[in-house]
Amino acid sequence: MSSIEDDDRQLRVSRSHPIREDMSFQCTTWRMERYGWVALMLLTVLALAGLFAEGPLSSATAVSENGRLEIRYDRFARNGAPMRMALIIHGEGGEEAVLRFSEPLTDTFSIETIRPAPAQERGGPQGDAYVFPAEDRPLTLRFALRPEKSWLHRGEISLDGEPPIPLTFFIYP
Amino acid sequence: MDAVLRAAAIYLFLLILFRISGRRTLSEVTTFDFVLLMIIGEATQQGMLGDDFSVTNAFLIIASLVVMDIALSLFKEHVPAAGRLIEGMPMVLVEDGVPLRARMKKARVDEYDIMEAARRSQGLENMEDIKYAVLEVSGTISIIPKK
Repeated sequence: MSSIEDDDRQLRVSRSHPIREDMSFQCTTWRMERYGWVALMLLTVLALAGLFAEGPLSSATAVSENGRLEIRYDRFARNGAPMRMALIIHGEGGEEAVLRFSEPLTDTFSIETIRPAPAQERGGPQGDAYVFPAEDRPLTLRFALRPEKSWLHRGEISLDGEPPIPLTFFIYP
Repeated sequence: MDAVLRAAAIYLFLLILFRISGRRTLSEVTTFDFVLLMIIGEATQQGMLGDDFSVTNAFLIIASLVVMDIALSLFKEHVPAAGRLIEGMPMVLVEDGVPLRARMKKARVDEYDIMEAARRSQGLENMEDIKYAVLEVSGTISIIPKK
């Protein structure tokens, strides 16, 4: 009964009774639906890959020029969602370490907790500084952050006044 | 400002999402579809409210959503083409007892769905008793029986 011509006619001919149809519009709708499904699947795959924070595409590591400071962070974050960052201080122990977060960074993120806790915190025109007592190296510091602004943000973290590590974050609204 | 923008973003996203997913996706409310809709609602709520649980925020969001819905309905009224685009158009699936299979396949409706609608709304037993089956904009199937 059903042939290719018959199928084609079904999809092309618009009826006006009992309702008014528009089959060309309907076929366009179906096509758009299919594109939409592909887009949704792509979105899901990208989310799994970490484009929207927490995943391989998102995790990044930055190391200072002399290799003393290593930062493991997420390139992508979401506004208001908790975000983790690990700072690893290499090199010789015995001296206190001073980490300085540049102003744009402290403005973008609220720092919720630091483990182990710093011995001292200092505010300043160039941002906030955290002082950690002399300890064995490497020393791993875990920061729990919460982004408070959306879109693209840049900042710097430096150790003991050495050349800073520039960081770029994209924060989804 | 934030509340209005949040509501607008969610409204637009859901509008597009439900248009893309097709009218049949969540139309026949089975128990599972119902649960799925509730979960979607829960997930939406978090994003819309943010961390502001004040009554004012809730008022603003509800007002924004209703305003957008009214605006959309006015827009659809003035620009019928936009209405068609947003809601789609009804389509005949069965004509004089003959199922239009090419259409049914595209619309993801099978004969069981049509016969279920026929039984429920008209008490019909056979495809031959159906004059027209129409897939409505809402995703439901209307049955017009043969006299």
